[in-house]
Amino acid sequence: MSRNVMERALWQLCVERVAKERFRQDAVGFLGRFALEEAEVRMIVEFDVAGLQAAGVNPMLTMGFWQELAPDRNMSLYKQRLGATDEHSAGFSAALKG
Amino acid sequence: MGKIVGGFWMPHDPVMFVAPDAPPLAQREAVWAAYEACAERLAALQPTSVIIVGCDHYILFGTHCLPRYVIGTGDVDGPIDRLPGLERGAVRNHQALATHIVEHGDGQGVDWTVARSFTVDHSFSIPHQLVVKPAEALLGRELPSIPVYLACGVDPYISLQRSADLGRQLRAAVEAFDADERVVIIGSGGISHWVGTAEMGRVAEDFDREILALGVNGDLQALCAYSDEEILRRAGNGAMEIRNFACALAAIERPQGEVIAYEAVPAWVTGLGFVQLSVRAEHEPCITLPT
Repeated sequence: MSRNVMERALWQLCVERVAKERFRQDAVGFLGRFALEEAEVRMIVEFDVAGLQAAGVNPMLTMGFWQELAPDRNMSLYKQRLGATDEHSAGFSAALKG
Repeated sequence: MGKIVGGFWMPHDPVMFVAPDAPPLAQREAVWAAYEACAERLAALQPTSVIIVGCDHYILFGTHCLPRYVIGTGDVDGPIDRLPGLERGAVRNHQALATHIVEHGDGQGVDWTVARSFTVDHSFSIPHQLVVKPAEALLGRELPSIPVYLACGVDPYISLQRSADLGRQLRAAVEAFDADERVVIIGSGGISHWVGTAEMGRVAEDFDREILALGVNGDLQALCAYSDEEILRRAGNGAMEIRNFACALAAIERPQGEVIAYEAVPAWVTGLGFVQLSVRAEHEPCITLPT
């Protein structure tokens, strides 16, 4: 696993408009420019935020990536994907009405 | 010589702007009132300039360049992240003082990374727009504001000790500057908060109150004694921002603090603490709060 390359790709997807547009059009094609392994590409394309974090990716990036590009940007779903307990979800879910 | 005449710790919580009505009314009113109190107290110090110590949230700097500490010496604008209620625009910097801090650091083993143009994020802009700008209105004059950013959000993190070293160098540099300069330093950061993790929304009030007591006691040594592992375990990745507190505390000679407000706000995902830092008189006894 290459945490540095995944973070490089995700950072671009969080902050660069052109990268976001290219990813929306052809996610796998966009990721082809990075030296990512097949499993890493799959985690990004599938928005596997738990897998990304388990691989060492900074949670600020997984959250930013989700908020920018996930098909359903609902933060409750994001936390579910991370395995959050109901207790952890309650207050924040209310905050973001998600 | 110039002088650092005081300081503050205060939060920079973006969820306040995204979901302003989420917490109970009394709690959110207490937080907004705390910012107003900070603005009044800042104006009362009769400052001539402000240093705001913030941190990137993996927006400004990518994997290609991750500075441990950086100072904006030239044009400043922001915030880069758009939040409802925060205006984006130019910020008046104190370029002469910021440049002097860098030059002074060269002789002190502090080799600042310099941003000759700098777009800040919300960690600068929230204290600036909620505290510095209202203080400017009260004073009827501008308060040039210098951005200093420490690596709290993205590893490799700056160490707490190094953050304190920078605070001491900031103080020494100000003291070597023009005699009429009165600087206030703001350490911008939340206390406990988990950002982007499964625990997001949890607040660790025990940890928060421990940190606040260290601010009241001016106990820099104890503040710098936390390991990263303990901070992450007890208070979340967002609590790494206590580095900004260490920098501000170290910038004050013989520091002591007063808690202006504290609210544990799960709906805003953060323990929000407001502390005013001041210089204890030389023969004034140190009041120690239990931590």
